[in-house]
Amino acid sequence: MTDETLVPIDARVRRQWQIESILGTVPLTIGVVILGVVLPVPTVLGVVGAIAIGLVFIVGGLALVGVRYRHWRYALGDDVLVLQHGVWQRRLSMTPYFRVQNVDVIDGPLERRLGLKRLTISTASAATDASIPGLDSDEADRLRTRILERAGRDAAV
Amino acid sequence: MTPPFDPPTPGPAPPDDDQTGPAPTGDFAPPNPAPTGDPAPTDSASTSVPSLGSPLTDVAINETTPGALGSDGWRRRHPTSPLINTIDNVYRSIRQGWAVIIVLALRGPVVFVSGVAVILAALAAWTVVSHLRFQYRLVGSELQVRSGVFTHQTRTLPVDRVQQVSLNQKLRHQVFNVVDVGIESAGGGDEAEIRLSVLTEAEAEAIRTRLTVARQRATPLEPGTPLPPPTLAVEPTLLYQQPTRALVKWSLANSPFLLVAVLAPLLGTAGGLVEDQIFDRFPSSIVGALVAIAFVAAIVLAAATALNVVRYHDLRLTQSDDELRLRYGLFTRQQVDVPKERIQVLVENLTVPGRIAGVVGVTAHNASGTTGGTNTYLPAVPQADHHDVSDLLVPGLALRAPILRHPAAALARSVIRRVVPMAIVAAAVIGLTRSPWALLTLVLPVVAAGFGWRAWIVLGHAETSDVVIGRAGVWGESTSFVRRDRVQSASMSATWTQRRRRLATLQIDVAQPLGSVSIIDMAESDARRLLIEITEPPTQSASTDTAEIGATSDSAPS
Repeated sequence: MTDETLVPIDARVRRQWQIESILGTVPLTIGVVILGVVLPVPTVLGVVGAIAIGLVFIVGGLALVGVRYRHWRYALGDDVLVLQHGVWQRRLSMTPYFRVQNVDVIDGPLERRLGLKRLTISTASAATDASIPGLDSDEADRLRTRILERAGRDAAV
Repeated sequence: MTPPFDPPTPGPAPPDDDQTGPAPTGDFAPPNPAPTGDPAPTDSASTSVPSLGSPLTDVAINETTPGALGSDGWRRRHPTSPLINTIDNVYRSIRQGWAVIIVLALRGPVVFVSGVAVILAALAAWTVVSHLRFQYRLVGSELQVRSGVFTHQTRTLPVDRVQQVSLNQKLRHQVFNVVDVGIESAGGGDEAEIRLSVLTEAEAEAIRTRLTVARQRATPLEPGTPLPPPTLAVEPTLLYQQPTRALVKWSLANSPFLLVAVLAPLLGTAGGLVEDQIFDRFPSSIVGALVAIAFVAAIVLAAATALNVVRYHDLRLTQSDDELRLRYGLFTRQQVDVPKERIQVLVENLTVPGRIAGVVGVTAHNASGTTGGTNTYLPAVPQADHHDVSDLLVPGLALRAPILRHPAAALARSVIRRVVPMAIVAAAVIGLTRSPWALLTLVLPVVAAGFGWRAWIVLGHAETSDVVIGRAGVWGESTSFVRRDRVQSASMSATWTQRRRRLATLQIDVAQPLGSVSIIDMAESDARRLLIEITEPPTQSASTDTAEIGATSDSAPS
């Protein structure tokens, strides 16, 4: 499987990850603010510091979204599903269709608003890495059909 | 367990209620041969196991008989089940509810005795009612269990999903000649999928045999192919018997108290030198203290060793048909039956104590959910034999490819990964204390470098047409053999530091509680090639349902 055949996931997933990233920093920011108030430092300094730290996290998280998105690729090969993702630790995963036990297509509230779905295929191994986030709704359904077709075809041999 | 294949006498027959179909009597009643759509001729199968006159046989073989799916065929466990299960429940209650017992005891003897009596009575009553509700039967290729006092539950397990059958016989079981049977399919938690506690030995044996026969018949046959000859009633062949010497040596070396035994005399010397008051009561001389400590240490060591020796006493691996059976134990007797084709991964574990004793631990993992000790585990196989023993479990491991070390870049990474944290610790200690003694911490990075080098020496992989082999460890080593035809999926990953050195970690996912086997720091090109190779679907496979765990390709007689 060469890199050229791998395709990126839907760009709208960046929006999803950005929102998730901001929501994820909320508890952390609150924690930092509380620390700033509790610690024996002038209140103004504490609040400003807390806001600064919160901002760093938010900006950092948002910056990571772009990098994460650029590194996400997948391909529906003839016999295997190929995923490539990860920023610090880059991972290339291959899951042959004939091992597929079931295929899940999931869309959370945020994903529904953006018209996205995520597709997960399970094998008999819990360690299998075969979950593609940020797929266009129709594309996700199409992929599911194709994967199931192939899984079925091989099992019928 | 006593003779492996007793002619199963219809023991104290459990009360069979509401029989409408052919009554399961002790005699072998030939079923109505009505093989509709069943490629396996029913009558030939039924004649194949005539020796199993156990009542269970009738229903099991009667799978195509109309009426067999009715209420008949349901069986209860052995009548001693309530007694034995009450004992089990009491043990469990004491473990979990000891606080209650203490509270009762503090309220005085009357409250204590009456409280305990009430609890005991409740436990016993519950167990009896559960026992009466609990029924099982083998119909066709399904094992069915009805249970539950308030919530009624019927569990059905297709026999071709059975991963392993284990028979457990503690002393209290041996008194009544009964066994605790655990039947497991893939996945699940720590508890066996179906537990039949307790059955007579003959009944357990009959179930085991029926499961095997039913599974063989469940595997699709070419139309017109005669049923495989019934080899089940044949005495199983002994494949391997663990030498007692090896077991004792391993137990001795493996005892955590060995260290204590070695160190105790030294500590004793130190203690004796300062005339510690602890030793006042003993002979006050140093020699006397030493002898006393050595004596205690020897007893502790002997006890710890004896525990292991008793647990794995007389371990034998036998095979009948394609079923492997492992049995061991002096007081608590364990039997684990694993269909050979169910084995996913084999691990050879050479620990440091194992090195001292010259033995290797061999574990064959199947896909069952039990993470506890019921996998096929041979704790102490002499190093000279272990290739052959592994070969018995996963054919093809007797002659194995030599393990290849990973590139020099892996050595660099192995050393740096261990040295850097230690160097930071040393620098911090030296910087903070500024004492000349702190310079001693400089030993840490040097030792870490030694560990890194040693880990690289052990690290390696190899491949054959059947298995992918990965080895890792530092002073001990663990070698995993992953069957290629059992690979579910795989991935390679590389952190930034690995990418810089063109290294990658290959992760092979298998259907097994461990989840996956990882081989770290392979050459990136090797990892990529292997990744693609092991995730290729089998070419021109004759197997029909490779997607199912373990239920593969053994349809074609080889």
